[in-house]
Amino acid sequence: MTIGVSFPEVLHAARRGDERAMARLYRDVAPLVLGYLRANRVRDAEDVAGDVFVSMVRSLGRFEGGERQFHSWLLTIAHRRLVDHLRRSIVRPEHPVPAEGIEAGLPTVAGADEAGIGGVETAHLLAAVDALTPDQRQVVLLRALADLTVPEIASVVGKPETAVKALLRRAVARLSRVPR
Amino acid sequence: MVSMDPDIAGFDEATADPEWAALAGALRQHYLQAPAPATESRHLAAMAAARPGRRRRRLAVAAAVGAVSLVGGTTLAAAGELPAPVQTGVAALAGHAHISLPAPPASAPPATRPGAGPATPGLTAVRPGASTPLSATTPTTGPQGRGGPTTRRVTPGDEHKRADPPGKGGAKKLDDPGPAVTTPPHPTGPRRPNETTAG
Repeated sequence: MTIGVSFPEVLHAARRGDERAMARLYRDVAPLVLGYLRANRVRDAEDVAGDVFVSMVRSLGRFEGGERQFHSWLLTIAHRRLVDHLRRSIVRPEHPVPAEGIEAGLPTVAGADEAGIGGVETAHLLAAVDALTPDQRQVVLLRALADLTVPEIASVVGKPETAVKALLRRAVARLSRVPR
Repeated sequence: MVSMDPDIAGFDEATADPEWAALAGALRQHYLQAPAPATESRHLAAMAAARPGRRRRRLAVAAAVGAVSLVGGTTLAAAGELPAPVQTGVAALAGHAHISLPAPPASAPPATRPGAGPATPGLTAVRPGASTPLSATTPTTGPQGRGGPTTRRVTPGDEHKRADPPGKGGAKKLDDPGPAVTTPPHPTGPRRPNETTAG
C-alpha cells in the first residue's frame, strides 16, 4: 500500500492532471480512506470517499511532503468528511447502520472471519472496536490502519496530543478485555 | 484476554508489542480492501472531471463563448439586425442607459385598442410614453412613383399628425381614402382661426 521512491514523480504528474498518476495515487490510498470510513460506520462510505478523492484532486496543488505526510493529509480530509457526516446524522437522525450492512459491503477475505490473527478473534475484536466511543474508535483506527504516530493523529483529528494519548489509553484498555 | 500495555506514554514504541501488532493486523486485514471495480471507475471518473487542468479548460471555453456571444449580440443590436422582438427589447433596455439603438421596422398591421381614439389608416398604435421610436406604414408611392408601402419614422409626440402631410414634398399620395386626422387642440392655447386640419 505504498508507492515508494517514485511517489514524488507520481505526485508531480497527478498535479499536472495526468490520469494514470491520479489512478495510481487513488489505488494506493483508496483502501485506507474507504476502510477508515467503513470502520467508523459511515453510511454510504463509498459516496463519502468519492467526495474525499475529489477534494484531494482539487487541493493537490497545495500539498507538500512525502508519502507518509500525504496519507496523513488525505486522512485529515477524510476525517473532516466523517465529522460532517456525523453532524448531519445528529441533525437528521437516521436508522443506525446494522453491522451486517457494513460487513456486506466488504469483499470476503480468506481467513478473516475465522479465528484470529495472533490469537485475537476477529469477530470479537470488531465488536469491541464498534463498542468504543467515536473519538476512541477514530484514534485507534488511525493508529492501526494508517500506522500514524500520536502527533500525526493529533493533527488529523484536531486534538492535542495529550488528548489523543488519553483516548488511545482508554481504547486500548477496553480492547484488552476482548476475550480469546 | 489480550494483554496490551495501556501506558500510552510510550505508545509509538508499542507497535513492537506483538499483541498490538495482532490487533492492528486484524483490523487492517478486515478493513483495508480495494474498492469494487465499479466503485473505482466511478471515483476515477469524478476525479478526472475535477482535475485542475480540465476545470481551467472548461472555464476558458465558457469565457470564450460568452465573449463571442456578447460581441456578436452587441454588433447585431447596433446594426438593428436582431429579430424584431429582441431588437425592441434590447433597444428599450439600452434606452434606459441613454444608449440609442435602432428599433426594428414595424411591419405588423395597425393595432387598435379600445379607447385609443379614431383609427388613422397608416399609423401604428402609439403607447403614450413609449421610449422606442415608432414607425408608420402608409400606402403611398415612393419618390420614383413605385407602388407599395413606405415606412416613415414617427417621433414621439408626432404620432397624431398625418404620415404624409401635403405640400411638404416627398411622396405624392395617390390613394388615401382615409378620414382626415383631426389635430387636437393646441395644448398651450386656443386654436387659431386660420388653423386647418390636414386633409
